[in-house]
Amino acid sequence: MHLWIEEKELKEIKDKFPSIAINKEENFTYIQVKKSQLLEILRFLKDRLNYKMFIDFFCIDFPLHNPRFQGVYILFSPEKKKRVAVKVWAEDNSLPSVISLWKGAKWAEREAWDMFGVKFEGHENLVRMFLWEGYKYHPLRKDFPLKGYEEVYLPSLNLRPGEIPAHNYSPYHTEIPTMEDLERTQKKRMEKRNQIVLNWGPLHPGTHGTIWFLFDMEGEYIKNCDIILGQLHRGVEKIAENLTYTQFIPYTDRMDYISALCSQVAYVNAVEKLLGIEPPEKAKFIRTMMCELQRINSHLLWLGTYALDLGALTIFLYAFREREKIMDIIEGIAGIRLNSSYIRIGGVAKDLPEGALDVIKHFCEDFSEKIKEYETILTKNRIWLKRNVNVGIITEEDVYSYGLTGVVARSAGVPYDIRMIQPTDAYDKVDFELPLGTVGDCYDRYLLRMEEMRQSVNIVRQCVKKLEKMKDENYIASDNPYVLPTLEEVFNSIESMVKDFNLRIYGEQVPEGEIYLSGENPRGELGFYINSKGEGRPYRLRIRSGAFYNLQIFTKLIIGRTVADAVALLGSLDPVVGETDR
Amino acid sequence: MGIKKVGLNRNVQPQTLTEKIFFLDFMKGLKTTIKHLFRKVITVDFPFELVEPAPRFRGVHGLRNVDGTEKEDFDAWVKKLKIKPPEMGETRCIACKFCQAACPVPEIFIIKAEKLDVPEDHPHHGLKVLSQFDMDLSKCMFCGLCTLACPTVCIIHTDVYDLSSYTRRGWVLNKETLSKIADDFIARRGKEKYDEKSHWPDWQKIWDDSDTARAKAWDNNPPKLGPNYADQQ
Amino acid sequence: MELVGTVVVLVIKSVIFILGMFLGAAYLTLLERKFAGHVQQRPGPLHVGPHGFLQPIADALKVLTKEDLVPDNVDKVLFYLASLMAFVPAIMILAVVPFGDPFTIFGVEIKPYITDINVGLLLALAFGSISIYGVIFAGWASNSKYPMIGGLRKAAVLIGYEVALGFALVGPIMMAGSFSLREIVEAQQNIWFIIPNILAFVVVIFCVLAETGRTPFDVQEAEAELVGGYVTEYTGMKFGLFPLAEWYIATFVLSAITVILFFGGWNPIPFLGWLPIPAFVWFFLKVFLLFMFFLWVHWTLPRYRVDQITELAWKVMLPLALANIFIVAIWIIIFG
Repeated sequence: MHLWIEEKELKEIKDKFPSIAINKEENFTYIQVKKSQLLEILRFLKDRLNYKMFIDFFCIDFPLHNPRFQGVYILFSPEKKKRVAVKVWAEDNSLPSVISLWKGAKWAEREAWDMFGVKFEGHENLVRMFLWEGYKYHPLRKDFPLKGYEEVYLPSLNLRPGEIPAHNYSPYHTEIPTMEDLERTQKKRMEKRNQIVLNWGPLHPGTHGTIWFLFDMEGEYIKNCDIILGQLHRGVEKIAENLTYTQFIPYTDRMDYISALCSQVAYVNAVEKLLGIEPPEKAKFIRTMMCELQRINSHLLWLGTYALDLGALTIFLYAFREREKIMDIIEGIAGIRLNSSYIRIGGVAKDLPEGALDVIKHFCEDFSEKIKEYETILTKNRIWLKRNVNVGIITEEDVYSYGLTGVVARSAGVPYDIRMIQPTDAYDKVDFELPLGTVGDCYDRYLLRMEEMRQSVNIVRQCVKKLEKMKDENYIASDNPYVLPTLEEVFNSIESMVKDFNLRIYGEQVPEGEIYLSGENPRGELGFYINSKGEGRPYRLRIRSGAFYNLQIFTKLIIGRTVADAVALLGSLDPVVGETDR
Repeated sequence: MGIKKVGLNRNVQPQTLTEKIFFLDFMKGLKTTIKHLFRKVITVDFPFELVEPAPRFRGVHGLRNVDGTEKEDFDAWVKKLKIKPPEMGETRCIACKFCQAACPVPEIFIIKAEKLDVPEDHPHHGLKVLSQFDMDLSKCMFCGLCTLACPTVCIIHTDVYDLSSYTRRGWVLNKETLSKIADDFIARRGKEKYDEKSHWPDWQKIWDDSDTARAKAWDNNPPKLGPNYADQQ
Repeated sequence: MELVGTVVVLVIKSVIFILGMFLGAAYLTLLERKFAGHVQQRPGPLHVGPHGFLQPIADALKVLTKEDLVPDNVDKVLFYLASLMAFVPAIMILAVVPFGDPFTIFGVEIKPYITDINVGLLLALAFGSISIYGVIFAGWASNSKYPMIGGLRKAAVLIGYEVALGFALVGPIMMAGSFSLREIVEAQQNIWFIIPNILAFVVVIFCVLAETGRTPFDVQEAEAELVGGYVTEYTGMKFGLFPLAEWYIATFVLSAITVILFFGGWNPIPFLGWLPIPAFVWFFLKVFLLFMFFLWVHWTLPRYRVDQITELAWKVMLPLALANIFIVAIWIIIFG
């Protein structure tokens, strides 16, 4: 399905601003504008043509071009259901800040400053997003080496004199932040104006991972809040520029490690669209079924930890009892329970083993009663209602301004679901309902996720019914020149062997072009922007993570509420640190 | 494909007065919890009871030896890469370095093959033999790309998951350790995973259904495995 | 001469009660862990001794031999005093709790209680109120942000619930006509006091949950919000005394008082009075069942927010307790 802006509207923009350049392609349509006209054009797009939802902003580094950095904005129109991209060259390494139009750009611009060194005029508090204040380099530039600059002398504390160290020991290391660096970062983020500044995190049993919150509190009420991310930053976007497309698949499932299969499917869909590969029917249904099972898995973990944070300790273990079953299913089919790299470009890695469909059917029947069990304990409980109703209300304006997606957007009443807007795989062949909330508080998000679990079980049942009849079909489109052949083919024909060898060593030679495609993660919209220059490795791979943008609204919603509400709010926004920090 | 509205007054009714006064919401929750008190335990008592991993489980690697179940073109590969033809019980590795090329972290592997030190008229003159195969498992992601790239099904994933060691050197496995791990695994479970030609067969089961520990983890209500497909009934 | 005899008897009884309470509290931890485990479909402690029977001994040895870290900038006097202040008053309530009727063995009359003063209930209430100082001292003396928040939360919670508890206890006192716990039990030989005092019973259940710090009122050590609450800076036996005092000894003792006030103490269950079971076995049975009820509630319900707890105390519990006094007064006029 075609999601980019239409010809008619492009003509309208060109009539109003004659000095722009238009590049219309099926995978990525963008307008190239000048820096002086940027704010004007963006305001025109937002107010007149109704592209009011902010999806993403990032930079690309072209070291041989002058100016060096190119900023890219991606916007979405909820009524027309179309996207548009705006590209601008950053003259003098600076761009005007678009915070006045979309508040969600605050963190995206901080990240661009951190990774590339592009300054933004008019930004509220331009500090580094992931690294500490005082770090000298900008890592995503092309001249920064992959291993970093190993300059700091850090001898091992455990070696005794005369002992031979382990094989990969080296006394020089890349820079590590010290306590002074951390304090400087903290002070620059937020100054103390009220009674106490509470450091909630980074090592805390209540935050879902290593996120560092700073609360400026008066008694128990929070007056100001900021978040320091980057404790789990691994530089996945830089690693992607050095690997082939197939070798990057295990990295995609380590970002959002709880719903690993959904992230892999989103990435592989983007690469397949760029290469023009169509996976076979069976592979599409297998992918959809595994994605929905993984969605149930992720929502169960959310339920367990959310109830645990709010005090109901038994539900954690009941949810994990069901998760064990799903992880056993994934282990039997893919090989590993959590970080399964099961999806390949063109299909899936291996066919379903014997008995897999029976096990999945058994699980589906069993699961509907278990949801009723969780609901009996929680849904109408007066304590649960008191903790959740009217806490953290999100309005529709917030959804467009901050770029919220996933359950958070649907709880405010905005029907934004990538599975319905741009269905990939077999989502257009299965029947399901989209739950929508009304008020936008934590209770609505809780009800939404419980309802989504039921809808997912429905989808899995439909996929199983379809798959039962597809015994002999292919599970990977190995005729295509870009797809790795199966093992049987490699051992039986010499051409497949040569193709396998070439693809593994030189990578998939993707033709020049770019694409932005997203998939519906349980946490929001996970989008991949791939810019390829015709080699086996991508030139720029940008990961638009839903949890990152969803977390940004926490700083606005928590003001005026207590620490106890911070727990409920954080749980209902459901961030996973692997995805916010990448 | 419709839209379903959820919310406090949509699909969940607010509490009525009787519910509030007589604590009925608490009672229902308490009843559910007390029912669980009388059910059987679902945890597996590790390390006294072990769940056997599925056949496709990606554990520690192993290097297989020649045992008669190689593929048809094994001899062609050996000749092409100028390796000394291995006897029964010697390693299958032909030092083609496909595994290192397919791996996202190629620094894991150190693979070397040396020429044999034999006189000129020996039939094996000029042929190489594998001399070093080191794997540093501390950097490994266990993604499985190396096993799917090996042309002789030499490097495999076994079901060993216990990797604990006191030093980092304990995670660097050399050729002898890897061969022993693979021998042990193939003797125990080789038939579940591979057929006579080292392929992954169609009848490969998702897991072994006689495993009582796994039945316990499925809430004492394990699924019965049958054939996958409707036309096989 | 008689004075020396009474003193010796008192000392022996006190020692027996205290040691018995320690051992009992240790095994109550095992009971809680097994109960919580089976509710969550897992076995709880299993390997130390048969079915975990020696686990409390192992736990006690572990807590006693752990390293005792005292941070540099704490208020040393209050830091050490806090664990004692939480623990000692909870045990002292045992001084006024009677376990059964006086009985004779070998011609000697033994009274299974330490004292029987005529203001026993007031004394128990007073001791319960002292034990909250331990929590507040711990939160203050730790000189750190999370314990301070935890300690202050507990103080805010308990102020409301002590008042409500005081008013709720007026009902049974009016019906029995005295403050002495033994006489309250003897006044329940015809009808247990729970029937007219049902509102007071609900209030007392909530107050016991609040005083002993169990969910839904365990805000002072809510793990997801304040890492450990007021016990964050404590280690070793000083840490061990806090949950022992709060969760186990105080719950046990307060359930004993609730049983005495509402469920007839050591009077047998009506229609089963002909069974040859001694009085204190009935008493212990009822106390254990009530203790298990508190555990059951702890492991099911989520927890409230602090301002909702105080709102509940002053807006709901206090009016209920006052309404109960009204109802009991009418009952006494009708039934005499």
